[in-house]
Amino acid sequence: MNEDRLKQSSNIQQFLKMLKVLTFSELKARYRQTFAGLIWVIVNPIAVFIAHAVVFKIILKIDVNNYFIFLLSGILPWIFITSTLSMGINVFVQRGDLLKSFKINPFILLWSKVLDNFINFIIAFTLLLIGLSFLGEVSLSGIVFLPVSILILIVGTYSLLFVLSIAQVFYRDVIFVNQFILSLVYLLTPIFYPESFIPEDLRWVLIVNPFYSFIRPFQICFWEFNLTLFINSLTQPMIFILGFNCFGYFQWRKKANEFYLRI
Amino acid sequence: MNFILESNSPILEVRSLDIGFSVEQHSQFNLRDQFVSFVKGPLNSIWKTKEIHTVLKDFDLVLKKGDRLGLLGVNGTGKTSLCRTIAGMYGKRRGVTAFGEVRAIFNTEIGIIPELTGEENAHLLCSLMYPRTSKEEQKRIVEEALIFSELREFQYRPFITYSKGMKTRLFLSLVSALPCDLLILDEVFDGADVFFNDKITARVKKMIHHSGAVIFVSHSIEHIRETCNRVVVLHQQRKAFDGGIEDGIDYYLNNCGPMQ
Repeated sequence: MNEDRLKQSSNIQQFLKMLKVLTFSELKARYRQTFAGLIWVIVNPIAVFIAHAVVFKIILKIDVNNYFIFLLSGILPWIFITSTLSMGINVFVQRGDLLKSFKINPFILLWSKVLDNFINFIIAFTLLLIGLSFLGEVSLSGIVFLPVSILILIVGTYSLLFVLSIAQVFYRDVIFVNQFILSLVYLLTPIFYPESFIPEDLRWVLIVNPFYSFIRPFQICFWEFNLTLFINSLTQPMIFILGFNCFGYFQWRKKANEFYLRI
Repeated sequence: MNFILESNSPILEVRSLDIGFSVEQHSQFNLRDQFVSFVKGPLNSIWKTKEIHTVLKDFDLVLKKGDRLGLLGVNGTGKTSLCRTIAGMYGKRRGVTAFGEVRAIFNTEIGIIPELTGEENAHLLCSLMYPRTSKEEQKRIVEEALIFSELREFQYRPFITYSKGMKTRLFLSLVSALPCDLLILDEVFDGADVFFNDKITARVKKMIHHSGAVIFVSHSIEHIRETCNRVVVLHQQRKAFDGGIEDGIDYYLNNCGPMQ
């Protein structure tokens, strides 16, 4: 029993060690190719944030307290999730040669995409947060709970990527269907307008929206923090995470042979 | 750090292993076609006929320290599938027990991140292939592999610009750096030029000598003869022969041709 545990812990250590090396190498490769690459991944979310801020706050004059903070804590996690999915869904197909060359845990490739995007997200978020703190909008009362909300965001994004990337191996248009679905879900996700704007009889769309459930705890930490609300917001993403991982795992177990034939 | 087991202890036990792939008849390879097929015939789309394509049936194998097994069989007899199953790439399989570290190589022209330099890819490959070794040890392996592969002067060039042969040289030099309990080499000697091939063959043989057991897949009878001390022939979804080299090669050549 102890031997099994030791082996398991050593496997986890090895996985984390490999993940660290792979993630930093990917970052290095991307930023070496072009310095503009580094600028782009940070400027892109900042530009998206500014465009939304101008349209909704200045042009449409949306009436929401601390709107910039609300927008920042919703739109940046959304960009993190969507860019991770668009970069990661095809990773098994793209790196098929590598996966077939020697034994390597395929999921390390997914985690490395998640972490790579997470680092970009954190840099852009921090820069904007510092900028907004000069406007006096930032309240840090929920900061203690930030690690939990970040964990939900990261693991939730990974869970979605896990299911979709396996599906992509078997159905090569999943990546395009995903883009289409994201463009619809974007409008239905309260990240640039608050949840209270949605009529009561339409609130069910939030229950079936995994993206929002992963973003919500993070959003609460920065915008109008309330402990009860925060705790309540944790159940839904956990159900999604459990569901996606169970589904992905069973699909993987069932189709592991075919997986290597199709990549 | 390696985990070479004591002599006479089995390194691999395979009992009654079946390998098959589920093949869905008229299966769709994209969601759009799947959707069209569902609209056309919802019931047929849900209850599709699933066919199992059997690759190997009731396969048994025990490898002990010192066994250098040559796996022979025509294309499509399941050599690679068997090796992948033993390596654990299809997940844990009932009937397959490997005692110790298994290292399996199926392709030697691969770079992890081709945009990085050859040296960086060597480091990356080394950390993925030898996760148990220390940083210093990995550095030593990479240094030694770059010298052995004669690619020192190209080490700072992007891996993507390497020729097929250069990639093979680097990969084989890294792979052959450390022995392991069970080494699986699936057609890995193609690609390098004839001069380097001699050099790397000698090095791989040395590693094979220090490894616990080896499964060697090749269509080159000469390589099998030089490297192995036992042959298994796969034919018509079964283990058709298990025994000495020359008898195994004879069996393969006389019984596994297209008209047999």
